[in-house]
Amino acid sequence: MFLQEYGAGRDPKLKWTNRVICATLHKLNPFTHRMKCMTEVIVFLIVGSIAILSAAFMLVSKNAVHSAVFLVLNFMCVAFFFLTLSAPFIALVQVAVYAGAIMVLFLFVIMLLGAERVVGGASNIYNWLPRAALVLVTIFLITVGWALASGEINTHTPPPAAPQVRVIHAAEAPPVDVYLNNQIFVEGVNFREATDYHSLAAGTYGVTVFPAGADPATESAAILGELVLSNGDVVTMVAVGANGVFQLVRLEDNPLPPGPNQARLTILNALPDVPAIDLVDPGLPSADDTTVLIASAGFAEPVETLLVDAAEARTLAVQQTGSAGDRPLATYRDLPLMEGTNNLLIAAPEQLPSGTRRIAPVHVAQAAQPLFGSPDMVAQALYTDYLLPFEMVSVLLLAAMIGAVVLARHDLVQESRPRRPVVLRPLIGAPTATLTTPTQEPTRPVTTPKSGD
Amino acid sequence: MEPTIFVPTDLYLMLSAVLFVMGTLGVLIRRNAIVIFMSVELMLNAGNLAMVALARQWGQVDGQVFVFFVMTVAAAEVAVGLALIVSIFRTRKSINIDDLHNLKG
Repeated sequence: MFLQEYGAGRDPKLKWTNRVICATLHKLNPFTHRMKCMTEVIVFLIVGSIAILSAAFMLVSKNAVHSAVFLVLNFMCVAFFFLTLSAPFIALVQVAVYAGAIMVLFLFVIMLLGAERVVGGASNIYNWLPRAALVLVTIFLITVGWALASGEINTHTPPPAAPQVRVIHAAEAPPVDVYLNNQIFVEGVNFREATDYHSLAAGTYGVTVFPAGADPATESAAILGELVLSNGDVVTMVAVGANGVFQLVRLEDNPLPPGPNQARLTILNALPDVPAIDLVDPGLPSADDTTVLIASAGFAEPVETLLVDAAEARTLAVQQTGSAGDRPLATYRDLPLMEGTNNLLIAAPEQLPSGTRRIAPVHVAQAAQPLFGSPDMVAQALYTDYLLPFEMVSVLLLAAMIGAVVLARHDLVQESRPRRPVVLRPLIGAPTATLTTPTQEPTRPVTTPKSGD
Repeated sequence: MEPTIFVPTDLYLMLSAVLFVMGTLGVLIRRNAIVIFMSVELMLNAGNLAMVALARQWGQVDGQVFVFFVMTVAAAEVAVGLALIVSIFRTRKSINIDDLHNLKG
């Protein structure tokens, strides 16, 4: 986590003290990086060898109970790996379902049957099997190792995330269409409206904005701009302006969730006539009855974001900078600042149908992306893309439950026992055996289970 | 803000292959039906480990969702399989799979 913050050392928006600290840490980076890398690899090797050893002991244990306990140890190691692979939800399920429920079932059956030791008298007709198995698995391991060694995939760095872009219309203008490189990107964006994020390839795009429905071949664009996207960017393009002069503002969004019980808040001044605005909370008592949350946001200038406590409804106001005590330009009444959301407030000029002009308080809330591998993210995938498989697996579990109950039913097992004579010889001798069956019938009566019912 | 990968995915895939191989050996060598079942679980787990490692490698959560499904199927399989073992043990008095070599009851 520490390391990820180093990159901020070159960020001009940080205070100079922070910049100096970050730059110093950046110089130390190779050393600390190597230390961390070493530690992680050593931990991996230790836990990995525990996993392999416990699997080996599971294989060679004569007692099935010991095998089960070693398997639990192995499952725990795998759960640890899931944690290091940023899959905390899967790790928890692994411990609860695998190491917990399934292994309890195993131990229960072992103890129920009293079958912890292999029943003797095994016919060793498959003596060749262990050796053949060893040869086969050696070949398999060599193949896997060779494939991994000669593979071209870079497994040391993660693939870059594709840049994501959305558009917000906050200009005093009718609905617009947005084109990227003369290809339609979004259509018919209304005033105050925000589109969803769209994934794009990294690169430079020429942005043109037209009034909705206009033919880009004949009409001239309302806004011409350029959009440079690199991997990992999450960008909001806001169309601002009034009186026929429009421009695009690029805002860098932070897709990571804010802290627990917090919401992220930022403000954009989309008023061409107002040089700077403040975001104030009229509810907070202070010297001049207001508290400035974000100070002097210049026109079309991105400002730093602010983390605030999440609230169901909070009233905030926008004021011209330096006019404390005046009537606010616009008021956000009962603004919902939900936990884990990014809230963008825009003070935008609006022309009402009646012709009067006013300042519209625009609020765009966007749930932050959940962290990779978090229960949120897994649940989102399960309930959107994988809903059908999820339901099918549920039905499968139900069927398995009923099947287990039916299979284990005592009376059913007895009824399915063949009443006809039992052939004790191998199948090859069957024709002769059938001839002599009547005399053999009483030799093997139907057995009734002695225990465990 | 790219997450740094300290332990390369290669190592996880190699570990997963080794665990899978040990599960295969268990299925082929052991004669106790319950231990064979445990070895199958070990193989499923090795597959899960590979899937989670590759999910991180590609930054896609789908691999983790598949692991979730595999776990569910494994639970179903264990429920039915152990019920089978119980009913076989009732009729045969043995769970040595070498004793179960003919199809007639």
